[in-house]
Amino acid sequence: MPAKALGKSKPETVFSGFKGVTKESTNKLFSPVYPPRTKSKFQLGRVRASPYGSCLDSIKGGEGTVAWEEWREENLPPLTVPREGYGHIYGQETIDEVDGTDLGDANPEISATGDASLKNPHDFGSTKTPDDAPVGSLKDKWRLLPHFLKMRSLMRQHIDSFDHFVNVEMKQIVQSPSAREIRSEHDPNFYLRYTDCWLGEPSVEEDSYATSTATPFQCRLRDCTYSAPIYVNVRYTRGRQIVVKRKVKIGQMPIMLRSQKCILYEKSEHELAKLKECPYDPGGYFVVKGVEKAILIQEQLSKNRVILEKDAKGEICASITSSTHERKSKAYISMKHGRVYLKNNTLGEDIPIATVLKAMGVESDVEAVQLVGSEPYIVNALALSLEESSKMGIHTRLQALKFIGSKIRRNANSYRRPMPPEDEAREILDRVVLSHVPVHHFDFRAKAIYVGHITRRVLLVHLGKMSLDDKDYYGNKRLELAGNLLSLLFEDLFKIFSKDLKRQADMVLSKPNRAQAYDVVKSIRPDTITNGMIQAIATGNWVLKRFRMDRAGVTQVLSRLSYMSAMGMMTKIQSQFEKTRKVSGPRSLQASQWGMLCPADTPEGEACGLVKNLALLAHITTDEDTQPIERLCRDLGVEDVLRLSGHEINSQQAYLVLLNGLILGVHTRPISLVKNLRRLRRRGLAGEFVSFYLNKEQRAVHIATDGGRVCRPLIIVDEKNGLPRLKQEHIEGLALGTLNVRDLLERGIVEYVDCNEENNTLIAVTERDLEIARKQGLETRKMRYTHLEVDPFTILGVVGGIIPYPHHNQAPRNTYTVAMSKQAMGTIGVNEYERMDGLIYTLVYPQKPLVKSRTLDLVGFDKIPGGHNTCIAVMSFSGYDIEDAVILSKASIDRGFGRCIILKKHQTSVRRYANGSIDRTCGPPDVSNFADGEDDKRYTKYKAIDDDGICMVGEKMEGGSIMVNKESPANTTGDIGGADLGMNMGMSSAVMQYKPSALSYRGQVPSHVDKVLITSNEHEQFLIKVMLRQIRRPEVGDKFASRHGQKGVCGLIVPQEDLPFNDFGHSPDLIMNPHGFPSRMTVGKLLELLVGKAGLYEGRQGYSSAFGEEHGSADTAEATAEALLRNGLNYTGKDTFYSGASGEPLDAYVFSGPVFYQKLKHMVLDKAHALWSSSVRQLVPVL
Amino acid sequence: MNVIENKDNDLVFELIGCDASFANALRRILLSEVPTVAIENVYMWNNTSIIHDEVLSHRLGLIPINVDARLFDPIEDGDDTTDQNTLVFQLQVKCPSRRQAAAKAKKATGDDSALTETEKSVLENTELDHAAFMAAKKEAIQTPGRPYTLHLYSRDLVWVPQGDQERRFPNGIRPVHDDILIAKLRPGQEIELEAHAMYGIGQDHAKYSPVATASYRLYINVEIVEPIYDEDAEELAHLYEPGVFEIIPAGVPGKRITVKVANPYACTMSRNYMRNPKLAKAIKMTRIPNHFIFSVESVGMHKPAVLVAEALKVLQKKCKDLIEVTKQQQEAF
Repeated sequence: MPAKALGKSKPETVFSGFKGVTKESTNKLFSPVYPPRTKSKFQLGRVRASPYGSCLDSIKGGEGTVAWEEWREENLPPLTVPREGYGHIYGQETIDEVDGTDLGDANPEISATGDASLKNPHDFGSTKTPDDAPVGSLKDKWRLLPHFLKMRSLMRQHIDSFDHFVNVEMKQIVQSPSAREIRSEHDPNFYLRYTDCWLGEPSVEEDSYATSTATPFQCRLRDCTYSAPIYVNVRYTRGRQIVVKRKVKIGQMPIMLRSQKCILYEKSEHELAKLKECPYDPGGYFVVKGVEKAILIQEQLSKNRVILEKDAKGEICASITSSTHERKSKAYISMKHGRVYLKNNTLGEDIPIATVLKAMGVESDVEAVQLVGSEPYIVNALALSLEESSKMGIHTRLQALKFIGSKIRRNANSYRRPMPPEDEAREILDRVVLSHVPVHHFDFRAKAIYVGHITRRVLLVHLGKMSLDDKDYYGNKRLELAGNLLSLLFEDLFKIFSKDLKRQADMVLSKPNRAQAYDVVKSIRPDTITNGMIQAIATGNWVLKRFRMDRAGVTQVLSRLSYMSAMGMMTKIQSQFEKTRKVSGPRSLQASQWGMLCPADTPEGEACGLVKNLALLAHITTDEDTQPIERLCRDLGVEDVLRLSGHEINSQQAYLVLLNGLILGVHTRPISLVKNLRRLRRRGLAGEFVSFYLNKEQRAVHIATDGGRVCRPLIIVDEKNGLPRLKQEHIEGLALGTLNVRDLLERGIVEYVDCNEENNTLIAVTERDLEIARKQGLETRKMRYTHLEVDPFTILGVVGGIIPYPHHNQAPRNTYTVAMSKQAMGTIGVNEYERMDGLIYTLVYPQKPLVKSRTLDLVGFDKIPGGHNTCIAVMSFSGYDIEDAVILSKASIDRGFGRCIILKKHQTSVRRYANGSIDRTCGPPDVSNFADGEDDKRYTKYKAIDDDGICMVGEKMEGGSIMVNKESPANTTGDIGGADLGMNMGMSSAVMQYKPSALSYRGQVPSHVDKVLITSNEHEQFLIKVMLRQIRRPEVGDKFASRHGQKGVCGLIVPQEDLPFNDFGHSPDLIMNPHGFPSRMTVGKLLELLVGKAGLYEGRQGYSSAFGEEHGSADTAEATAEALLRNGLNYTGKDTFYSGASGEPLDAYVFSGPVFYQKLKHMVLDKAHALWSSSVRQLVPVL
Repeated sequence: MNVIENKDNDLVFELIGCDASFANALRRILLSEVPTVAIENVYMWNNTSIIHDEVLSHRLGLIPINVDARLFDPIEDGDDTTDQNTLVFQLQVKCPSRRQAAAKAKKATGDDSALTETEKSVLENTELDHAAFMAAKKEAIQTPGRPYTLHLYSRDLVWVPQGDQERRFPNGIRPVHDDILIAKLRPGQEIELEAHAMYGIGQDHAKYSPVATASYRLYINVEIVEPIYDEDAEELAHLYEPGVFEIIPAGVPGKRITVKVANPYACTMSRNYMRNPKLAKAIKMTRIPNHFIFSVESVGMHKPAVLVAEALKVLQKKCKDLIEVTKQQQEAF
């Protein structure tokens, strides 16, 4: 310690590793007995949080490089380092120190009382950094995140896709040429044409006559479907008239919550509260029959793309799944014995590729060879294929078509009148084989070029000049969202609906003499679509006859166990692979999933790696119009492929330009083409999610506008100076609201990049990478950084983001945590006590975690948390803590630790039967009928019910107690004597026979009535829902878990006086066995404890975002140790403990401090099943 | 024995020369066997608030009540509640509707003339704690758009004297703290209940524990084995063990700064000095096994000293009982 530091009034920072300390003065502190617990008077320990971590060492070690800090001091302006001390770590929002200049936070008291506006947590950015500074102050980048998430909210992908479906696809389906019109075979003049289609306001049909506007909450309570009517405008003939009708209802469409059509769309918190909706609820699911259903994201191989792989025989095979609105088909172009064949389901055997080309009009072999490529090696490789077809005597197009026609697999029970084989072959080549390549009037040119291109690629792979594609590569995957699935379903149902309508029209019109002009609109039955939609979403069975699609489990009930589980469900991605297949490829984490999918969030066991979750910033694209991009390409000099010969297409000077897998043309200067296209996109002149990807190996530029691609935002790095384009002023602009993310996109500061385009980028993970690159000089590197990661913690998903210090944990532990957090009890939403779900678990006193992360702030877990900050001691105690068991303090439990509320729904309905008889509810029977009066054992079960036969709120329910004293008529089918009897129930009840059908409570543990709801919906006359409540305190056997995959059951509950206590008299809430650490290697937990402890003494929440140490998003161990030291605690977090039983000090120091513990839903009370009395049956004779 | 600190609710004293078992017995008894009175049974007449009955009861139970438990009889299962073993509290609050609140506000400002007839009648029918109401109103005004919420505090518990309790407790019985939040009510919500407070010990439930904590630590003997100078001295005195050591400034130029032990009581045994290998060698810290620094932190119904006395009485009684039992056993043989 330099002596000159003494006596100075202003603190001076000395960087000398950890021990660097400054002092304000030497005035002594005298605390009579206890050392200062809260704040030392010293201005101690302004230690660098992270003077560039350890990554640098490896560079330093490199040959002959100057220690880079020295270099930077000479060549660059001083580095902007996170503010010294702890403020930035503990989430203090002000920036007090920039560029090494102290802006005055020497005294925390001053800044606390200082400018209040800067303290506002919503105030992102500061005015203290120069405007043109790159966001080098490292820590500020994360401030972008809230804005990204604001733009697209958290579960935006579902909502976006649903909106796209409603606004675009639905109209397209109704307007599509094949569905637009209904005509009758019996009346050539008759037609019905749909001119428009749209959705109305969400509503509920009360009965046949009335509808009322629906709110989602109402629907949940009343077991209704939250749906809106689908209206169409039609134009049709009625007799000789042409009638135009507007707003004809053709069905009801379930509405996704928070979508544009939902009444919750863009509602303020206050308005949401009025609708009893939780403001933190992300939406993106449906309410069908009162149940919340989420449509999971489905992952599949991309459509209309060529994938080259080895088939079962080990031969090279290109598979192309074509998908258009009309048809889905799959074609293969594969090698067999050195020859190339085309394979398709409709064709009985493989067709030589030369024959196919001939059938498509490429009769000359020279032309065919040119289409594939005129390089000698390709010609050689193709020779066998060409020879084969000429050997078969196929020389002309007609011969080829006839040959193909003869190979067509015929449907035995086809009603279609037979066509000549050549026509049939042409039909199949047009419609079925590679159906996504457009063919107009049998002009097969485009398709021939396409086939030639694929053949070329197959041959190149065969010759070893190109590599196979990777099926697991994420750029080859497309994610199907709710909108796509609904669109398929709606299209199918709409066609069925139209067919039904046509059949009805035919039926009526076929009758020769009609008295009245037939009005087709009158025979519209909306039920087909309504029920089809509801059924599909309610059961999760997607059955589409057209595409022979039969998928089960598409929808799942939204798990409302905790807020996190609901969030986790909305980001879940289901893979189409069968779970039984024993291949590791699709299950393992692929490098291209970086930033797109959460590496931690996947279940264990069967579905491991097949069920995935989106990363925080991942975005899924929706379909975009290709026309503008096509024009753009033409304007930029892409030559139309149809006007070029095969030789030119495959020439060495040209790159192919493919748009969504289709060959658009060729371009001779692909690099500048891509550059220009990207430039246009960065100016907002092309869609922000369009990807431009230059594939050098394939000599092709791939442009993708299709939906289902995963992409993520990145900060663009300027190519000239290697600095990120995101500047301080942008962050401030975002904070002030003068800018939004769209502006950033249009100004080319950030952009969305998909998996494929990522191959053309070099992404710096941190600012530091850029610094190093700049230091090494822009020219020395072959490839320059093109992008900068927004923040490394965004590679984790929503649920993965709640783990403190995940980067210090062993990877599987994070996976366990993610799985467990979904079972943790906590707040499920601020409307939790209003809800009437089947089962609700909540904590009585949930706490926000002492150690949190940026993700946690973003998703609002702080506002509706689930768990307790538990003071733990890592030690063994009593022997009841082996095998991960934990020991709880009785005093803590007495004071409310782990107390939880369990609300369970019981439901019954009062029905009207076919014969007119109705169920009834009756009050308790007359007490005088019982021998012991009120205390009679048989009477006790009626104690909770009121005169109306329904239980009273607040009453205690014991096993056998009646909740709803319902009686059903004995005769519900037969005649009950007089049709009017059912109508005047009161009079006839004497005649009617009733049998009791009460809803009674079964359960060994008593519950209390929490809420009673009497309502009705379109199916039930009366619906009675009763919520029963149980409040449980933790007991031996209940399961607890920290956020590090460390779960354990409670092994013993110990009274406070028996528990060990430390010098301050603190006894732990929970004791954890130290054996939990060595094998699990959850260093994150140790850090969480340490940071939590420091946070306790400093009175702040700690931060622990993934990889956050150098971004100011996570507290460093060094800073934490310093904080502990400052508060008179051991810097390693170990305290002296005394035995509670003997009073002697323990021999070892005990690692103790607060850790966030979650109570999991598995409780012994629900698991213990015992039968204490039952009928006994004699099975063996008694001897 | 030596009292170091004796504040309202905190007592710190030294206990020198006794065994750990004795100090520990005292600690354990303080935690779990000195009786207090706390709410045990709650009779809920009406509760339309957001807080569930069970949670509300639990919260009420944890409110410390400022009464001397020695004046009460313990109550066993099956015993009748009498004025000797039970205190009765009532809580009867209804959050007024917005209109009622407005009327009350007008009255509070003394502007009676502005009241309409209905408002006046409304006003007469609401029994509201004025201060709580004003506080709630102030909050409502200060935060526009915020819905009106009534905060229910421990002071709203009304003691209902039973039998001769009024004579026995002329000053009335209140919770120790007036400002413990019990619940928050929205307009129209209502809580009506009767709570019975009874005698109990911390062993049964933490709410009966009379101390926030009672514990001790061992005195640490700090010795300087080797001389410490300059930077090391600075580091030790300011960073590692603040308050324990005192810097001896270098009076004469050429002499070095050194350090001496000033207040070993401030030592927390954080062992941080060991990070400096020089200091690790130079300082020796040892715990004195029979020198306890005992601290008692009362919840507030009794002075901590009284609690210690009570605890000793319990201990005494235990010993007496033990002696009694052994005597009986001896006689039996």
